[in-house]
Amino acid sequence: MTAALLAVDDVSVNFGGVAALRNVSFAVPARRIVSVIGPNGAGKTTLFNVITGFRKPTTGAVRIDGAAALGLPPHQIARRGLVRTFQKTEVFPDLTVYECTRIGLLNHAQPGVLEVLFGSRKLTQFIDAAKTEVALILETVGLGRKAAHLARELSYGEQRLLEVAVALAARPRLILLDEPSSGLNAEESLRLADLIRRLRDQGMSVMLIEHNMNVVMSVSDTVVVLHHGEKIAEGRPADIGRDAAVVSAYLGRDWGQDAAG
Amino acid sequence: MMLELLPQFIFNGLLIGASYALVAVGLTMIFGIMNIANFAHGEFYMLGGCIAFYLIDAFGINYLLAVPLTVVIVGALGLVLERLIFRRLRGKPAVSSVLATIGLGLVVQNTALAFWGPQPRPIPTSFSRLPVQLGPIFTTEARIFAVAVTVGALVLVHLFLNRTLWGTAMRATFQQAEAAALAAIPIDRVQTMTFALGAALAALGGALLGAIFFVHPTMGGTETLKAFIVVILGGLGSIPGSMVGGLILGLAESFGTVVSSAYKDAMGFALVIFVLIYRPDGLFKRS
Amino acid sequence: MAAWAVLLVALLSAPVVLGEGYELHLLIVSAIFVMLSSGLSLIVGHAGLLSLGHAAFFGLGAYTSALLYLRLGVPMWGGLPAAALVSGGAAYLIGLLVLKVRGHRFIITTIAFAEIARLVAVNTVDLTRGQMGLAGIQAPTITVPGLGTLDFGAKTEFYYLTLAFAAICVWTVARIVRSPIGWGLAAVRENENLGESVGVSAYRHSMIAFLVGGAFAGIAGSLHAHYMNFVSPDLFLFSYTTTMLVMVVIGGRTTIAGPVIGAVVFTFLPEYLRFVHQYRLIVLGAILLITVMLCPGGFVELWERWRRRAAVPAVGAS
Repeated sequence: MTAALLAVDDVSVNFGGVAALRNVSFAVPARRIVSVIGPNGAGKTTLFNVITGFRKPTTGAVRIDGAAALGLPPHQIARRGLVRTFQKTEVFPDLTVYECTRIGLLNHAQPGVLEVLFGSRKLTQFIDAAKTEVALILETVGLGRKAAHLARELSYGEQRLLEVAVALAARPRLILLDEPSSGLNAEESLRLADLIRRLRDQGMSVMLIEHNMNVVMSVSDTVVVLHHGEKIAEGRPADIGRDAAVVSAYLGRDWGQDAAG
Repeated sequence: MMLELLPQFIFNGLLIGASYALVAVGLTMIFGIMNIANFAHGEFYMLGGCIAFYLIDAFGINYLLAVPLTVVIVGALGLVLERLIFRRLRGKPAVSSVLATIGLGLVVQNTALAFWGPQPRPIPTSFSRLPVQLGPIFTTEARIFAVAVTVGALVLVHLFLNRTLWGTAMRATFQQAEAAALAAIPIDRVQTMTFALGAALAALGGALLGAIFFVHPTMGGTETLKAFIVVILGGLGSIPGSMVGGLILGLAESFGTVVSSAYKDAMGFALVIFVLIYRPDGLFKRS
Repeated sequence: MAAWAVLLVALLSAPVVLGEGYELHLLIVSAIFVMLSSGLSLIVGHAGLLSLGHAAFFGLGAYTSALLYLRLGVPMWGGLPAAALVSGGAAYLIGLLVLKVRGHRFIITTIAFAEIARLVAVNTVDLTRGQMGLAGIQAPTITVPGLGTLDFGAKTEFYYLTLAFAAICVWTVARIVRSPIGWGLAAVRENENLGESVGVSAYRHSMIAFLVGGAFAGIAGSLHAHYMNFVSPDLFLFSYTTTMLVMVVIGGRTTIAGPVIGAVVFTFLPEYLRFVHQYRLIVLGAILLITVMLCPGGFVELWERWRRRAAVPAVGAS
């Protein structure tokens, strides 16, 4: 049996006496969409931070393609194909949309100083290919017409799209989106769900932290539920809606009825 | 022979350390409440010393009156600078406030140089210059006065922050500026007050130590550096940390003179580098 | 591109036009500062790291070259690469320690290193003669069979030498900044965490900036030593770093031309303000303060703003 793309193994995080995560384990195979849901403070972003190297867990392991990934700095995790977005939208403020997206391409190209000074065929090809690749990605997320705008001049929704564009440029095998639909209206959320499905169809896995249940239900293959740092349920969206523990902890009776209907 | 001198070294270290603490407390308060790294902070210390000297030298005021007068003057200057400059630095990226305060420091330092000249001079006091013996320690009246006032000031600051309404408002702004604003705390006024207080404390240090050592317009730069070292040792934004850090630096320099008086100033740098290697978050963990 | 070509021609003909007078001396000093400010702009401007100990690399390079000449008779041709290696090496070691932290801790530690270097230079009197400094550092001569002897002790020859090195520095910085490494530096400056999340190693890019900046400062130091024939611990003073910083910031810290303009302006200007020498630093500090508050992009930003406003067509009645 081949190793899962991502395996989270008994991860716990304690800081200052607070247990942010407690013995959390699950796996994300290739070409899957996994949503992580739970009330605020359940540890979802901490989980993302641990997976992507922004925080060391107190105990436990993270494996990418079966190989240990613990202690790796974030940029190394990105090189292995795991790219994340942040809960608070992050961009490169004084760079143009084009320049921002282009930075994602650095995930798979690290020229040396000498190569940069004296040039090389590989480098020239890379830089030429970069133009088309960035244009393509901007079209995919719908920012094509804003390529020359500065990132800080974009609207909130556009900055969110830019974040996704930057992440896509890094050619992730697993993209981790932290509350991608926050601040989006119903129509924008639909387009987001559509984008997420297209990413999976193109071969990526997607992990989502989401509060918008419509998005969660419509795109997810698997839903993982966190509560007080513990995984209290994992399964298909329909099953989760019926799980008593989940309903009582988080969702409430109204939601359970929506899922069934 | 060393052991006999131990209390002497400790006393001297505490004297210098307490003055470092005074300056660092102001610096850390400004950072905690306004999120600005003030690279001109040492100039308030310098102004404290130079203005005190000037008041006595030019107007014949008694030292014991000149000190509080100086503190008020520099506090007022701090207020003006906050309104004119530091208020506009809020919210700007860190690079801006560092560069801007470096520029400000240059202006203040060189204006003082143009006005007073580079000659180091001690502040004249009415204290007797004869050595006083306190147990195993040989000291002077001026030093005793300085230690008493510095420690007293630090205690007052502690009480102010923890027992008064204004102090509580300052601490609240320290932790969470947005929440404080929601709680109807006048952020602008708190920040102005904090800045003025920080400047005043630094000036006090300068006025006190200037009577024991020397004052000269270029002493602000080193003081800024030392204050930042203390803040690194004690943790940025931690007032108790600044107090303890100041004492540690003072003691380290005092004992450092045993090894080499030339490298005394390097003690602080050595401590910083040590902390960086072994305890990048500072000597004290924040709870 | 055309602007650089015109500049090049002007610079190449300077000794002919100006003779070996004071202006040529200022151009040589400017060229040395161009190396310092361009290198510093990689670190402070492009990578956004407030490294305020740059004078340390300058002084180290100067002393390395000076000591090699005075103690071992090594001419500048050996001293200069040695200076680059020593300063670059120091930058590497300092980077190892300091690039782990950010914020005020980073800044103070970089300042601390320059101060430590200065204290060492002042106190190891046997080696450095302390505050009195080392004198008699001669510039080299070359004897080319057929062409005769080139004496770099003469201003004209030394001018072309410094010009060449300054040009190499600016070219190197430009190549790096416009390359994918430059994209990475911008990422570190604009949003380090975001960069890390897409594979940009903040450490690697910062270190590249440090090494290149440090090595250039070392070269500048060596040239300074052999030009002035004298080195002293004053080369490590914070005021040197401040001057370089002002050149970078006021020129335009994320541009190529900015530090060059800044270096030239802030070498020539103080000389013409000699009569207000006392107030020179006050003016410098005030300019820094005002620039940062009102026009953080420096001269180049000012120029860009003016250009854009000039290009907007007059609004007629619509």
